[in-house]
Amino acid sequence: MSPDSGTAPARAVDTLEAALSKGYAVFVFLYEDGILFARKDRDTPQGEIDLVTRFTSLSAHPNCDAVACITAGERRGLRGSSLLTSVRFGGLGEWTESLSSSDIVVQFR
Amino acid sequence: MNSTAIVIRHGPGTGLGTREMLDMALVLATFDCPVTVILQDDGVYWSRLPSLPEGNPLSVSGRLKSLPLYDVGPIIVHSESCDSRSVIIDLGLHSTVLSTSEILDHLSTIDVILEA
Repeated sequence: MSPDSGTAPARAVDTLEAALSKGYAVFVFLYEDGILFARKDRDTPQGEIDLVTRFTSLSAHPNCDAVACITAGERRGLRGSSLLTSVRFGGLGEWTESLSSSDIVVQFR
Repeated sequence: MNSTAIVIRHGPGTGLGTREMLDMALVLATFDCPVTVILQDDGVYWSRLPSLPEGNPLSVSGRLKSLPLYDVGPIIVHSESCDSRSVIIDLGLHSTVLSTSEILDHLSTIDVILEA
């Protein structure tokens, strides 16, 4: 789910914000087109909601661990030089480990 | 270990989502996480194991056939989706055909449900 794909991205960012505000530790795994949230060189047209800036701020929260899938990133031209500093590259193995230890899993797509 | 179901609802040629979620299923299985793959709605077209050009990133028939080798399973095909689309399942796919209510019963035993 890219930042431009309807209202679901906004709900995802809202959910992340709510979880962090309530003290949850959140693991965010950016997969498929969701890795576009991790582009720091992305511009939002004037007048449109800038979800990436909101996500950038939230992903820097100390209780948030944000990971962009490296394979999905490669497929979409995302390189380390254009990755947000608050997001790191990771793989599906890391996702699987987090899945096994998570209390709640929420998918937005 | 959480059990996971991956529900594939899109048919061939509709983007990378199916392939990427099947990659996820394979990795989950590698980590001994119980995984079920469910083909529903237009996703049942994958049960025909369609051939796409070699190297096409949208081709996942080979991955689907290999799932049992990685202990991914069961592969469930939604019967009503097949009926409404006149889909006949390829014998090369080791799958189980279930009705809506049977799939719901199965999903009630699953910890995490992901959509592809």
